[in-house]
Amino acid sequence: MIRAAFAKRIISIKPVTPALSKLNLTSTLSSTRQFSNTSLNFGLSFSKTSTYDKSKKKGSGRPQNFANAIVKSNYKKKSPKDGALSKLSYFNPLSLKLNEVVKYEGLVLRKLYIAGAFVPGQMNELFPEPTTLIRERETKKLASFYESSLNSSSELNRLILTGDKGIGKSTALAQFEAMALSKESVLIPFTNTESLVDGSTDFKLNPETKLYDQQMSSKRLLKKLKNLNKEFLNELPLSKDFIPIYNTKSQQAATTLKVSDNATLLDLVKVGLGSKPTNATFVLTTLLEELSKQTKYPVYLTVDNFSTFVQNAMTKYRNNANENIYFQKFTIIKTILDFVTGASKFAKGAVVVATHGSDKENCTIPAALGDAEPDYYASFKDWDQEFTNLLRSNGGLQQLRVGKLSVDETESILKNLIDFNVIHNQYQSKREIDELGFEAYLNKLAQRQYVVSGNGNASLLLKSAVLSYV
Amino acid sequence: MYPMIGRLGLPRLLTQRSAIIRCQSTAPATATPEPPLPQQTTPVEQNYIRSNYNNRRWNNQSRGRSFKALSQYYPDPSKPGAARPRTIPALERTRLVPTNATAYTRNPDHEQHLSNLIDLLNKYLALPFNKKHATSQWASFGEYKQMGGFNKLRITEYEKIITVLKRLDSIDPQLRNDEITSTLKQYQTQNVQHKIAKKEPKLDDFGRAKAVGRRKSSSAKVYVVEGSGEFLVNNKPMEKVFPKLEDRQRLLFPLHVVESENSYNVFAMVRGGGSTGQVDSVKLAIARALCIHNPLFKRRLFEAGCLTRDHRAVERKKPGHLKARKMPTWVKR
Repeated sequence: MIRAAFAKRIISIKPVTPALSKLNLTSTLSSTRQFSNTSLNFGLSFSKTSTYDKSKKKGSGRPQNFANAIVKSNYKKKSPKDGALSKLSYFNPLSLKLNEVVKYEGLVLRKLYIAGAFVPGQMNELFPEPTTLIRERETKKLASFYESSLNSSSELNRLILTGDKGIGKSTALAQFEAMALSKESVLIPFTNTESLVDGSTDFKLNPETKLYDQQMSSKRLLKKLKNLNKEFLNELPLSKDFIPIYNTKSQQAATTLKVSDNATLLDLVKVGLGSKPTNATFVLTTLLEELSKQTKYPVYLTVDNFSTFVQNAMTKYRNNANENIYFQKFTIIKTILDFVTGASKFAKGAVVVATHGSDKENCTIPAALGDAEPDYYASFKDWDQEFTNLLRSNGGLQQLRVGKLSVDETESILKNLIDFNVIHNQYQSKREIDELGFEAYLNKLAQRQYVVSGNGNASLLLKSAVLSYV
Repeated sequence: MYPMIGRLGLPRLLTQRSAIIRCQSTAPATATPEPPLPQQTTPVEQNYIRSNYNNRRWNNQSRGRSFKALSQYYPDPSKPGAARPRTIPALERTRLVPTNATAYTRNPDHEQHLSNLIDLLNKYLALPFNKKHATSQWASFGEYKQMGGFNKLRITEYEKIITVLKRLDSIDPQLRNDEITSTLKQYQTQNVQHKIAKKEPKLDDFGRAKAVGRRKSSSAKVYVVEGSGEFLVNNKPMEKVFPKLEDRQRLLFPLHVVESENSYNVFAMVRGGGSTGQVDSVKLAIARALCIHNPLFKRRLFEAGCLTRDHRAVERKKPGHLKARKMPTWVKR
């Protein structure tokens, strides 16, 4: 067990021997690649162009930045559990309470954590549990989209969430994932999409598919899928025999899954996560293929930070010629894009992707959605024509432009913050409440904060209400 | 100051010294009135009168007795105990006394005008005044010169009288009387220059108030219209142009002062400078535009400091310095 755990942490760096090469088997091992201490310790993406090693502590204090320190220090433990939280109602996609802040149910919340739905900058650590606002337009549209996807193919239900930075795209995506988890369905979330293109994980060219496999990322995803959908995967049988890719035939024989043995998709996942080294990417793609064939449960595939494929179109990975590799040359990314574009589909379900506000805004995605006319003389960095054409295929994606908060929604959020007692920068609040009354004070505060936050930007609203001390 | 007209209807002496002398005089008063004095012929004598001191018949009394009469006033100084009287009535009669109290000043005409105005001011000193009421146009230096001593008039003297005139003119118009008005009228200019009335800015046809604000090298033009609190800067949302929260709060301070954050829509075009300069220039422009919407905001905004144009700008580099203040390293030798 210790050995298995150890094996997970250390990347095996065995060179391909001549004897093995004669067998003409696809090596399952990674190519010789040295990894820095940073990636081993953190295991997260490190695409930032910083010149110093953040893992090396310099001076007193925490080595992490503010956002990471909040997440890792588990500050939510210090927030009071009783009181305001108990008064909030649960998130119910069937009966949405518009303009009201709600909380997630226990099991759904746990799965959302596993799925990585809560991003560090959303300030969920202020509360004992993450809360969310049911928005009049966005949440309602997502709910109707979800309703329509329950019994229709994912080819017809492909949605992209767009909007400015800090507007609430990831929050809307989390709400959709909560809707998916509220019923029996399989959820496949891709949250750390940046790690697929920033060169932080291993990669190896698959000579058969001519695409690059990413074993570390695949294993991570398989583990997440297993934790999220264990009970459902256990009920879905394999449609055809699965022969994993191993070095030796004996290992292959030992772990082959057969339909006659009533092998399930959970067994398939376990093979990918097993102690014996295998091509986990192949397992992942097989799993998705099997899920696309079954009709018992709807399958929902969500991708956050979808615009990283625009930001890092030429990934940080390099081929033998020392050239950056195009992102569509990677197996996992290709598989995702197949479902996003409708080339592959689930019998029942939907595909929802969300862009990232910090990524560069060129005309690739807007041109695919029909929002902008591309500049036909633009260079690759300004317009990835291939990607635009790919997104336009099979009728293109539906778009939900996440808008700014209204004054009423601002008021709901501020009321929630006041109930949880996290607003400490309104120095005259007590006097104003005594003079005007709570409702009038709240209305006045909402109007003030609405304008200060750029007329309803959710992230700026939270920061101005909680973080500013002027 | 006692009245200038004496018992005989003639102007009296104005100086205090003369008054003191008169009181101390021992010469008996005559019963019979004296004949009128002869007419003054020379220009100098026009400004003067012959004294009627002690009411003596000066014609008969002075003729032939002048030496004798004088001798009692001019005793032989060699003789001991000869007291010299303070005044000589005959001389007093012939002495020319100026009608004008300011005759012995450098510029009597001007001093007379000034004295009259000061007297008038002292008379009505208790009346309330405000310099905003002083809107009259006064005679220019050249115009006042004609009555103020011609070539003797100095600029400083002119400025002094203008100061007094303005002070008199600042008396509340409703409390002025004809005396003040008629006095001031003499000094008002004949060539009335019709001032171009300062246009008070107003809202345009769309209900917008336009205002300009500047800070450092930034310049902002802002349109403020009644609305719901929307904010655009250079056709972009405010949070994209000013991502820092402190900048946005500073920008909205004028609206916060008048408690109208979401009562107005603001459209700002700003150029030049950096973020601080642009923020402060838009802030000033918003404050000015709010005053156009509602002049009653002016006082509150002024007291909050929103209407003061911040004149701080980058200091120039000087010769001998490396920058505005920085000097090269001091070397002992």
